[in-house]
Amino acid sequence: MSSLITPGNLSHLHLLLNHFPTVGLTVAFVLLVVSILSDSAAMKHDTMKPTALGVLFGIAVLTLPVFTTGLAAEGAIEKLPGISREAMSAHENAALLAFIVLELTGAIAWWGLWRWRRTHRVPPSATVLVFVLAAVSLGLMTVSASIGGGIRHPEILADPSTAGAQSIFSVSGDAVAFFVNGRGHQWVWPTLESAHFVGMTIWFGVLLLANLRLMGWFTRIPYPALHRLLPWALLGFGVNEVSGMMFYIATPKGYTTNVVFYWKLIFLVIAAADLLYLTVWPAAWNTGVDTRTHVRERAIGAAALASFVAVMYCGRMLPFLGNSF
Amino acid sequence: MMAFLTALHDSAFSTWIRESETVWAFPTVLTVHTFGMMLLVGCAWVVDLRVLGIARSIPIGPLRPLFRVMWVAFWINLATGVLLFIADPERKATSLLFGFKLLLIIVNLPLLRRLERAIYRAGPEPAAVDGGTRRLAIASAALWAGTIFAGRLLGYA
Repeated sequence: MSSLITPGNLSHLHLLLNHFPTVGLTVAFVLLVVSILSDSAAMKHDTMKPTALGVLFGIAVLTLPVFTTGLAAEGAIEKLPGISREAMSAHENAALLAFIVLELTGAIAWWGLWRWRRTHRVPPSATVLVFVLAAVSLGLMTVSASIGGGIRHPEILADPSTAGAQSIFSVSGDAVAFFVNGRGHQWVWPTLESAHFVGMTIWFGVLLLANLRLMGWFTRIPYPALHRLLPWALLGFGVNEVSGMMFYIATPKGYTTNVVFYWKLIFLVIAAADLLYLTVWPAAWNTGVDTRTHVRERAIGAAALASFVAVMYCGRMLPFLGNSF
Repeated sequence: MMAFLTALHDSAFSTWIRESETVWAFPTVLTVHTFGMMLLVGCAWVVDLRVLGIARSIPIGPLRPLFRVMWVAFWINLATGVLLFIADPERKATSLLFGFKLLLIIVNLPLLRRLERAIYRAGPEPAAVDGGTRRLAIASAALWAGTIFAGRLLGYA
């Protein structure tokens, strides 16, 4: 498996996965617009809007590995001839802002879904916020993608002499790295690590109880009551995404060259998918007091909890397995 | 005392945990310690949130087994914690931060007992909890957060 982490493969992976935030976001945005328009025609039992929100949440989650493969590709190809380091840095900084706004979009989309499950309608405030944020994300992704294309193909730019120019729509990765690792900032990394552990325990606590209920334990608790706790799982997820990305941006090579990190990302996507499942899945929602659950729910619960433990295992073992740090 | 700690540090077992090349030594002990923390504090957050009035529709009675889970996780972490201490006795025993972490845990364990008793004082299916119980939950949650911070910072001390 380690032999798969070659410069060529990492670049390919990034070129493959970068279509999630660009093409995927376009599809989700169109879905959202159509659902808003059909909503005004007073359609009963509208399922298109929740679908659009679910797709947006999924894209926000999948963009996490996409962003990380970007810095991996950078580390892999920066020494090659004909590569513009300035264009790479401009692309990274534009991508970072686009990523931040997209993650915010995903979080609000999740909140809209959570409310929809409880009340059968998406709150208008969530729809408006998601619409605006998704539109901004789409614009920022386009800026980032076009700068990214210029890394190897300056000829596609309207003015090739602008290759490598920093976009005003960007967040400096170097500034984040300095905040985390810079001189006089020794307290930042340990503090972020502590927050990362607190976030992990909150997410896990909620995930554990909700999945155990669906696996057939705690049968006297109706599942919709546990559903109330899910925003705390998202909060833990959010704290850990922010702290985790700060570690990653500060020292990308400690992660990108270690196969354990990619395993962590795979299990993380599964754990995030479980959060979506716990939020919207009808069989989960319809689990009342003493309702027996299907073997499918039991299997999903077991797999989700195992994946979460695997995320922790890969993260904790990162310094000891492979070649990190 | 220091002579004992030095002897412990130089013992074959301590050296094996600390210096062995295998992932089954220090890395695995540390990871099991992290797993115990996740289980113990994860369950504690859920109980504390419910006591504080979040997700009021969750009946309190059926949550009681979570306390048993917390105690199992605590014993796992006491065992792995002792192993981690044996691996690095001189520095841990003289570390203020380590002492602070132990203090937070020693204060929190009786709180955890009292919290369980206070919640289920009125019977196995309490409909509500009183202000004193809520204060216990806040104190216990704050101590867990402090323990996580102290433990995490120990890795950098």
